[in-house]
Amino acid sequence: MTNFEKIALLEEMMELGEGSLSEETVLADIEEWDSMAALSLIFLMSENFGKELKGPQIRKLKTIKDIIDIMV
Amino acid sequence: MSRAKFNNAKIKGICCAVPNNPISIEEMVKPYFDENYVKKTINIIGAKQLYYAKEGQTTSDLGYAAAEKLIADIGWKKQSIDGLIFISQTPDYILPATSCILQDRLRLPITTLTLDINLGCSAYIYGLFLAKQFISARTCKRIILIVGDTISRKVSPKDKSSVLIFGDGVSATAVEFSDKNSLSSFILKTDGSGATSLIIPAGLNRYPSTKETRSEKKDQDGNIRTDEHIHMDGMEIFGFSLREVPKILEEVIELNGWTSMDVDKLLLHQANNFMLKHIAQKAKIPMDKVPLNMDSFGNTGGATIPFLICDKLKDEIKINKLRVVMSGFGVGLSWGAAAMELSDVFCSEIIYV
Repeated sequence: MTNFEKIALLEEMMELGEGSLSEETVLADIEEWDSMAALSLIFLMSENFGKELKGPQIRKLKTIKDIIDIMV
Repeated sequence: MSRAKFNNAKIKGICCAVPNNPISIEEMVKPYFDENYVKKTINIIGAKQLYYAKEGQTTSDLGYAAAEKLIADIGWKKQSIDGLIFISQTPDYILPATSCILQDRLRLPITTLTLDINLGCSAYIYGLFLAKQFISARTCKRIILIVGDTISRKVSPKDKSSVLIFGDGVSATAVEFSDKNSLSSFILKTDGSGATSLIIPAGLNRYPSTKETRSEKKDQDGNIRTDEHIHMDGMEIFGFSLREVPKILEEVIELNGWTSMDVDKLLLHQANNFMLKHIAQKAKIPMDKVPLNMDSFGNTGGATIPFLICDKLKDEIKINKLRVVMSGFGVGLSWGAAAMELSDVFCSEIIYV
């Protein structure tokens, strides 16, 4: 999966328009990035990458790039 | 693996009770949280209204009211009851067991076996399993299973990870011997390594109540509570549920000799709607088979499944045969699932005490 596709997945997850996010986007600046979005990310990682994401890992994420890096 | 099959015990009836004290979540948390955040979260989680125990009202007060009405509605003679199981995390006393108090208050005969068990979200599955086990072993013929909590006393109104979710409610279920009943199957599991994911950290023996445990603290997500309030790590619980519940559903469906196509209704512990939709999606069960009623009662812990049955399936199971799979999962961590046919089950009106 390309980074472009991963960003598209994250945009869809947070119900954001296409092109709203880039690798540099800081999570704290996204209004839609909240505790429910974190749960959506846990589901997304489980469904698409077979990975179980834990709370402490999520709290360490700072940018969209950080999320992309674990989407493997 | 802990699994069991029964074919000689059935659910005869269910009655559920809430305190006659409705609480609008939006109103309650107004002083503490941003209005738009609350609106959005309520929308996703699903709970709009909760019921909170009134001053002096305990879990057994609600359990008593539910059991009394249930016994009258199904016409059981009290002398014919020989088992009472009470499952709660908010008993009346440390000792004696609340089930002993209820035996007396309900005027059940002294030949009644009574038992208190400390479980939450998984309580209904464990309770039905135990009731059926006692009946199957011919230890008892008629059992009243009382499951529920008055957890509101342990919820901090300034902690959005619990105040937007938990409400009070208690159920009573009548289980009896029946030699013409169809098969039911149970699977039960535990992972105590996750105990701290959903916990009241202090106030009992490990960390007795002190001035320190009663003082408010702010956590990394901005929630304020004391160590004597309920604390839930939502992400851990969500991860656990997503990992384990679809798995146990598949196992119990197979154990009962069904495929997922055979399931008419999937009765999931009403933890929060967001989580249930993801569990159903992962388990490949369409949402029209997954009733939800978080909006009316919130998450009443172990009582959510009987509340769901009385609220949503009352008329259907009085007449039709319904093949259901139930699953309760959470605090412990403890979880279980059951597959059974429900028919000729009398559901009383939900009562407000």
